[in-house]
Amino acid sequence: MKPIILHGHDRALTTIKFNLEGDLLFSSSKDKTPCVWFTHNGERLGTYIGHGGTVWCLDPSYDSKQLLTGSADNSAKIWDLERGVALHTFETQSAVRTSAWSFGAQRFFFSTDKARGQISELRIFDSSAVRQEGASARPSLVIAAPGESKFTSAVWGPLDNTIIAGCDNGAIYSLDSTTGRILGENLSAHTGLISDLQASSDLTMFISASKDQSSKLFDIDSLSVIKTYPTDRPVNSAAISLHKNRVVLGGGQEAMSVTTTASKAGKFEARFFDMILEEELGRVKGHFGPINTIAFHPDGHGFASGGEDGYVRLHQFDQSYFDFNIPH
Amino acid sequence: LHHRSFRCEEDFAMSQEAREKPVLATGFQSFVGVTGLPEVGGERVGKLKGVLAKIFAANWQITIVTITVPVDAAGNAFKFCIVECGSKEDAEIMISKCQEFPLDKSHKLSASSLDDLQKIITTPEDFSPVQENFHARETMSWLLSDACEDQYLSKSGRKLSVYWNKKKTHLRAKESESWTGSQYKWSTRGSYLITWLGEDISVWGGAKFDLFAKFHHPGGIGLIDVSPCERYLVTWSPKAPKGQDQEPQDIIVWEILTGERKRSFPFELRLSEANGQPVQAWPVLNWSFDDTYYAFIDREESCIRIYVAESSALLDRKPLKVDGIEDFAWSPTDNYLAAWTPEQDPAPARVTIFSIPKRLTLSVKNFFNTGAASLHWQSSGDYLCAQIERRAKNKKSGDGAVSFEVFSLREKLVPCDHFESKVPVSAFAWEPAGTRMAILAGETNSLSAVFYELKSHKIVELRSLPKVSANTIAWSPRGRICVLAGVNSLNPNIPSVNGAFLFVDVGDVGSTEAVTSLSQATHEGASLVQWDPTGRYLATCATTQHLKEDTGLRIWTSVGRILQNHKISMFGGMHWRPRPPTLLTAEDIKAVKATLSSSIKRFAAEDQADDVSVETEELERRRRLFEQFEEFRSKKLQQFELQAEQ
Amino acid sequence: DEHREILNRKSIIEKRMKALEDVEAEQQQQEARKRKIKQAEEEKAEAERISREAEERERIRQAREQAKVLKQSALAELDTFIKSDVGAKYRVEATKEAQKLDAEGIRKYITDCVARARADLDSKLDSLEKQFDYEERAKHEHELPLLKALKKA
Repeated sequence: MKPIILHGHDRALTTIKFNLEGDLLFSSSKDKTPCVWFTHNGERLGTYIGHGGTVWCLDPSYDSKQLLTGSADNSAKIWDLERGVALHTFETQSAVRTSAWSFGAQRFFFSTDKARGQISELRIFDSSAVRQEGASARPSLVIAAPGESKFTSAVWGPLDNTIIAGCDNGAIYSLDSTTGRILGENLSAHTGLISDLQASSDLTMFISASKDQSSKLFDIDSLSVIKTYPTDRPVNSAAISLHKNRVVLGGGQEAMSVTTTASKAGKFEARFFDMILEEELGRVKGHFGPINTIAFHPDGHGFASGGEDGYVRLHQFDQSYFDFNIPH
Repeated sequence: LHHRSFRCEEDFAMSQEAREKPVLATGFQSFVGVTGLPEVGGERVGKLKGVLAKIFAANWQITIVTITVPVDAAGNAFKFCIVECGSKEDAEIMISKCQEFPLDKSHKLSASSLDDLQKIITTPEDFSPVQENFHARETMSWLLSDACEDQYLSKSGRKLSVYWNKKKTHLRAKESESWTGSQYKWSTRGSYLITWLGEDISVWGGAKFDLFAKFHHPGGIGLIDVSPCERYLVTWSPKAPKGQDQEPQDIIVWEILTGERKRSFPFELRLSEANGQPVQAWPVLNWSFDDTYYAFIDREESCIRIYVAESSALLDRKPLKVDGIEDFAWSPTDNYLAAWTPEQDPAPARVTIFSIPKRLTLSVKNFFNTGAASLHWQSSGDYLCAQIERRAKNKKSGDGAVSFEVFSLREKLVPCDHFESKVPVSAFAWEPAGTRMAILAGETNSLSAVFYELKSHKIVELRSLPKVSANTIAWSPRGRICVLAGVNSLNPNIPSVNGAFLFVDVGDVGSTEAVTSLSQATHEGASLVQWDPTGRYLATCATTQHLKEDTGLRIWTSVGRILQNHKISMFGGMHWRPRPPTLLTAEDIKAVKATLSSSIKRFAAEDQADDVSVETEELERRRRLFEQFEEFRSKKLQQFELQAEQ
Repeated sequence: DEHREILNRKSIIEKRMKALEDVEAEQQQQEARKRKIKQAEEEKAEAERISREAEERERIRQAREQAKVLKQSALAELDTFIKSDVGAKYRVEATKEAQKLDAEGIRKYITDCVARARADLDSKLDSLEKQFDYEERAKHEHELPLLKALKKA
């Protein structure tokens, strides 16, 4: 089926996420203004005006009441999701890179970049404290990135006990969300920056995307690699769908660095792999620049991708997607 | 046109002359060194001398002039003496007879020439005789594949691997980090894999690709070439050190089995005035089909210098004089040599075919109003085609018209017929061992492929296929199937076409079937197209030379159906391992074809069994993966529930 | 009285005759009117019939014209087809067939031929592929003992 193309951002997309029900899609880009869209028709429901720079990350709460965003304007914000007004603004000393609500939204975290004498930190807050004290609430825990590294992507682990965090040096850590202790580490997870981590819906596994041109599936407890999906270009984002045991990878090289005349414009595909067999199943073309962020619809019937070209493409899978199986 | 450039200085020519008669440089031909003497001291040295002189003279009837026994400071003799014989002949007799000669119960004498002794002395202690037993080494095991499979070499990044081509899949036969080197090459008949890095060349072979031999070319190796029968190796160093007295060593000819350095030549690379790139067509030394001769053009002297490979001597001590020679080519099956002389007003252009070593002229033909030319031998040496640019009189460049002059070597008086193209021709190729030819003619955007056939000494046009997007003609080694390939090229003069391959069937030999296109295959960004040595598979490669991503190898059937598609990062290309000429005679092959029907059922059954086993193995592998994964998942979920309860 | 009666009767008779005449005249007039109407109707119907027939003829003519154009274009397609590599061998048969068929028939014929040609080509590719493979394997089988003997030596 033809994808719905969401025009609304004038600069490169940074993060897209569906809410739990899948009726809404949230997008952030380098143009300061996150948007929310109806997924059934691609109509824009609203915008979140208030940030002063690139919005790197966003996360809607499980009940679709609040939206958490982090920006290069050195702040994170919590928004009233429906009304589009900022409820709290947390000032930081450097850009906010990744953020997420815990499963029941009792807690949330965001990470800060390493910059100008600032080390990269993961700041965890209690929602109840924030409700009482507002933005002046102190984080319940601050975890510094191990070594000289920088947190680049992080997700909550099972039961919100852990936070799985990936770094710019390719390492992945499992951090105790109440003590900050490092419970596990995989220092050789990747050889390049980890650009994205996404957990499976059952929280048994998570998938990584890395500049080292590969994507890997990990055991969420031991951080051991279960599967590897190699490509030949940097991977910016990866997502898991347990619906058909598939993973999708988005990425690509900047057009400028592609020297060949052979590769066509628009050849920035989302690549689908069989999660278990690690075999590539197919590609979906369309973007005119690398794919920066990719997500499966929660019901597994479609996916969305956000590109460097400023477009979000919302796809509904054809019947063939569901029919096709590698014989086994 | 291929340009060859040699620098032949006067003094070099002189020293060549001196080389024709090999003489020992020492001038000590009548001296013999004898080892194995008893250890004696003082007065007994003199006595020993006397005994030796008597024994030598008596046993072999030779004249002994003097015997010198060197002694140390204490007057004790070494176990060695130098014998001066009456003549060179006497010395030779002594060397041949006096081997393990028992002087008494515990002493055996051995004689050798002083030169050999010198070699022994100067050989370093750590000398490792890699070449030893090379003759006995097994070099043909890969040909004994029961399933008639072929190997190929593939380069990914710095890693070289050899694979077996298994039709629908491939199997790694060997992968080696030790082969790393920027360069590699199969020897002409596939017996050896040759890799080179810096100044060192390694020759690998046998079932396990052991190191067979090493060669060292000071200055660093630029390019190598192997003679048609694999006896000789030619190396070129762009930075060979030059000394005043030292002989030139830009190009060295080696004998592979013995490791012997046969001869060396000076060589200067000619650079293009336009872009500074080398215009040199490698190889520089052109070998005759049976490794007997090699030859190159000496432009200044207007001659071809032909050397006898075995003796490294100039054939009959004189070059083959061909006025104004520009290019030449050896026949692939006979010691015939075709030479091209361009037009030099008023002298016409000329194609001359010589038979070597007698230098007889088999055929000579003159042409007027011509430009550049190139010579194409048909692979069984039956025909030679000279592709000659036509140009109007007194004009510097032509209008693109080209004539093709085809000589029939096996006919009396070597008749010649020709055909013409009114438009420029970008490629020409003979059907291997066949009578058909293909050309690509026309401007880039309206290129046609035209097929011709030589039918009872007359050339007929078979078919013209218009609007092909190709820049390369790749005939199957079996003939009949011709692939018109549009591949990326490093040569800026060849327009790049994006990996399109048209498979054309020109019909069976002698049939009246029309030339038809069979299928079209595409491999985006491909720059290499290679038939396997049997003509059953075609490999296309998209390499890092042209692409940053999506590099890889595809293998197609002989009619253009895809069999394998390998994505290979940092792919540097693949090369099929060549096969030696078949041991079957033409009659054998005819008989095989005639009785083929009896084997067909068996082959078909084998294929089916292979397919099934591959399929079941693959299914089994997948099933295991699924099982493992399901087990992992269910265990995880249990664990998760336990945790949640706590 | 009698005379009066006669006169009366006469006048009555005259009246009656007059009335009768009037009725007749009326009838005649009516009939004439009817006839006129009928005639007009008939004329109209005839005109309609004529125009209908003309239309029909025109329609048929146009259909024929269109069929001709269609057939022309179908024939052109057929022409390109028989000039193509796959279609070449259907040339004689196709020319014969084309005379009998309309545009749709020709198109169907081409599609059938293409399908047939594709199947033919496919089986040709199959047989060539196999022939080459089997020949090389058979040659190899005969060469193997020679190679093995050479290896031993």
